[in-house]
Amino acid sequence: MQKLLKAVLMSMLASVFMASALQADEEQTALQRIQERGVLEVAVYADFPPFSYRGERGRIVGIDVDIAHALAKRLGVVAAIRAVGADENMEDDLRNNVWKGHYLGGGVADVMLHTPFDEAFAEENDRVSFIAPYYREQIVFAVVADKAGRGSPLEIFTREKIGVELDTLADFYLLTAYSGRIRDQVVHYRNMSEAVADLKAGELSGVAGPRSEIEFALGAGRNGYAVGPIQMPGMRSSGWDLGAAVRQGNQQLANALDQAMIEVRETGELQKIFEKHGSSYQLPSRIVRLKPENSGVIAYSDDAKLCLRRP
Amino acid sequence: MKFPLKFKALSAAMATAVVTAGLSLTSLAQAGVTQADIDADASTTGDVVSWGMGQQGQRYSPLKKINKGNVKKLVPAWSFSFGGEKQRGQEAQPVVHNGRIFVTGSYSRLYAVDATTGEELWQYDHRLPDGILPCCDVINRGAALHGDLVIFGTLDARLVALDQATGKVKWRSKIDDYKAGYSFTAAPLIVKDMVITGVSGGEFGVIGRVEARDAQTGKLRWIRPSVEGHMGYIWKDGKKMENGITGKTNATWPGDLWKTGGAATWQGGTYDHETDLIFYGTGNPAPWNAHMRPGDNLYSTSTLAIDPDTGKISWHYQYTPNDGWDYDGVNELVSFNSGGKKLAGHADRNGFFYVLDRTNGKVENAFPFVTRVDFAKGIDKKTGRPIETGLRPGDPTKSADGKKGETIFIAPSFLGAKNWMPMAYSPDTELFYVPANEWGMDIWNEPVTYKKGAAYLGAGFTIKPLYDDYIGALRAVDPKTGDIKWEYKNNAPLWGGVMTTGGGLVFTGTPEGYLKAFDAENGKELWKFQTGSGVVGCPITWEQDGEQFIAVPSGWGGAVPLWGGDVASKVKYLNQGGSLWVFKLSDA
Repeated sequence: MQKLLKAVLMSMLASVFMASALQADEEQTALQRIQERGVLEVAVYADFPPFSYRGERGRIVGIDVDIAHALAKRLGVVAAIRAVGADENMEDDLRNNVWKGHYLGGGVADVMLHTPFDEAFAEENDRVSFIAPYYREQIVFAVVADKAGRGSPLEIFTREKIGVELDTLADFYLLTAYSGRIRDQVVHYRNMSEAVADLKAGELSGVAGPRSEIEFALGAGRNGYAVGPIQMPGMRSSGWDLGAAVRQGNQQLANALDQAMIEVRETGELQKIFEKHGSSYQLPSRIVRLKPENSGVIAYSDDAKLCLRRP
Repeated sequence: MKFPLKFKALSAAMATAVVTAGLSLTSLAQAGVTQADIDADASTTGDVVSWGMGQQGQRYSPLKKINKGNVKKLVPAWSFSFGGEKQRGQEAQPVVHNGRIFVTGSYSRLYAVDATTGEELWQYDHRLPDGILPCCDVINRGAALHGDLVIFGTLDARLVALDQATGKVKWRSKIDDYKAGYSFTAAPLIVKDMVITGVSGGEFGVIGRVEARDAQTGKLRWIRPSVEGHMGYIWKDGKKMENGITGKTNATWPGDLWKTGGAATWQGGTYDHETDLIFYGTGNPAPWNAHMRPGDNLYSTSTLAIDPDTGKISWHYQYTPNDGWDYDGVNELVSFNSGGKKLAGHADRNGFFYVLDRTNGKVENAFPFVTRVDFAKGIDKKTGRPIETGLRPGDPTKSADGKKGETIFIAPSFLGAKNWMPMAYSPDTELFYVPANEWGMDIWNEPVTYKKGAAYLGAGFTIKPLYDDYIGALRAVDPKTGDIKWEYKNNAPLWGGVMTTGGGLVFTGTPEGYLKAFDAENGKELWKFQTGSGVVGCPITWEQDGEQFIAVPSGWGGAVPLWGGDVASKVKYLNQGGSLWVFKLSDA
């Protein structure tokens, strides 16, 4: 939380002592540079439907891509999308794409989307500022409707096959849940699209993974499946907030993006973007808002409607 | 320029060719490296045409012109810069043939250098695509020679064969998709006119395999997966045919985890002509958390003995069943004969030195070669299995409640009691010279961690030195008794290959920049030279025009600065570089 408080404090200071402190001068440069060149470079994950993936004629499309364009528009620039591969963990991705750049070269993007908005994580990653929370992701199960409801929700997977993406939270959970009794029924896929394809083909009785990915992969064929969270004993939480990350110190840019995200959300554009890509929109547990009314100071508030935070 | 080539010295060579056309043709006809040359590499001193200075991997040269008595007079003959802005780790072993040295550099570069003058003949810079994410630095460990070709692997998982004389590409073969996490950085092995390779990418849950290709065309001959349940293939008359699955499906893996079981074959193999077997090591199993995959998880953390004619596994030996510490079993297996027995030595990451009967993979002897091994008390010689102490990292799903969980300290660290850097064996002293490191690691479960924007259950690791005054230790190990005959301690971790010679010397490099020579009998340091950057490459020696030469690449990098935890901060001051140094005895 300290980290987030610091961000708020910094933005207050910045607005008061605008351009007077050296720090503010440096901060202005990142945003000024972006506005001078007219381009906001946004890092998104490659091959990651429905957020960022290759659509028709190889064009990169998706929720995060649309959000990138919406944010850039509000900064008065255009978005250049940098589709990046996921490294072993988020720390690597932030180093490669936000604050340092990969050692193979190529530099960093101005902002990266789909980064966790989590104070404990933020405290351990002080090279970047975590801003503009826009969405809450959650592990859900899609279960063939006539199999759901028999016995306890997870217990059926001691007998029935369930698909997961390899090396994910759902995978780890199911491999060890029920003292390993589900383990032999867990079928691994490279991504949720492939898992859902096998679910539709009748090879599986269910899949588990992030809601957005499952809803998108199910598409119009959602009937016949019960989709939703299942109580996962032993798990602290099955959901997490997502936002954006900029390099620590680029405070003007952070403020501008926070401001842009407020507008994108409050105008309803954010929700429309999710719906356009076949996923239902979930508010994050904290949202970015102006406080007090239009004073230009930004805060991350947790009084948002926590509609689907917990099952 | 898709494949930039430089022809600095070529025009000069062509001019000479016009004058002495007949002679040039003769030398061209002799230029080819035959399989017989490669098989005899350990005993022929005029060239180095294989990884390991001989297929068995002993890194022993009978040359004795440079010896204990005169090694003090060793001076640079020349030095060659890899150039460019790109530096980082230079882990190659050079090869030498027909007056040319072939050495690979970081970022998938290959150089041909005149062995007499140090002048560049040509350079090949592989064009690397955007979006490759190599796990462990941009290193390359060396090239192979066959016929008129020089063959090496690239960070985007290609094999490239170039003309030794011109550097022109003769064939290219895709090992796998770099987008799926594959790359190739080891030196290829040449066996029976086939180029033998594995796959790198052990950190991405790829499936390991050993592949054989026709060395002259790059066409596949067989594929042997390293995880049970996967089908092997062999090509007969150009037709791909099933060649039996590896092991027995689900014998040692639960569920479908064998399908993504890891066991990457990311380091080079060795070949023993006496038993006609290829020895290839395999990496750790995936996923990283052992609690999710109860069972031995074959054939991870093992040496596979593969018949080069059939592509089938003759025997295997697994060093760390159900690995939970990231102890890859990829380290080399070095063949040697002792007491009338065909044996082989292996210094594993897990801290044990194994002596195996290389005809059947049975363990003859096993003992620790570092001061502390926490995961096992010893190796049961009847079963060949470690006698585990029970010290294993906790189950990360237990941290799902949001608590950090218990931190355990365990030695060796996941970078191993010995990492990739090859050891040497001297038939004169009957000792192995092992570049070891004394370090351990804290491991704990990470409750708050993310991967690709998603919550994840990870583990935290920090590497810590065991002692204040040294990490690296070059040790002379007696395979018969397990005794350490001598040791040389080094402040920074050792990360370069070792070589020993008939002159009674042992050579190895240090991250501090020195190439050093030791007395093979007692470990006394007899000579050192500062190369200007850390030495993490492999030294070689050969004879030319009546003189003995020694070559070693210099350039600090590799996995330590990337993964080293507390150790990384200890080696922060070391500068990068990229050059090849060649030494000979001074005339004075």
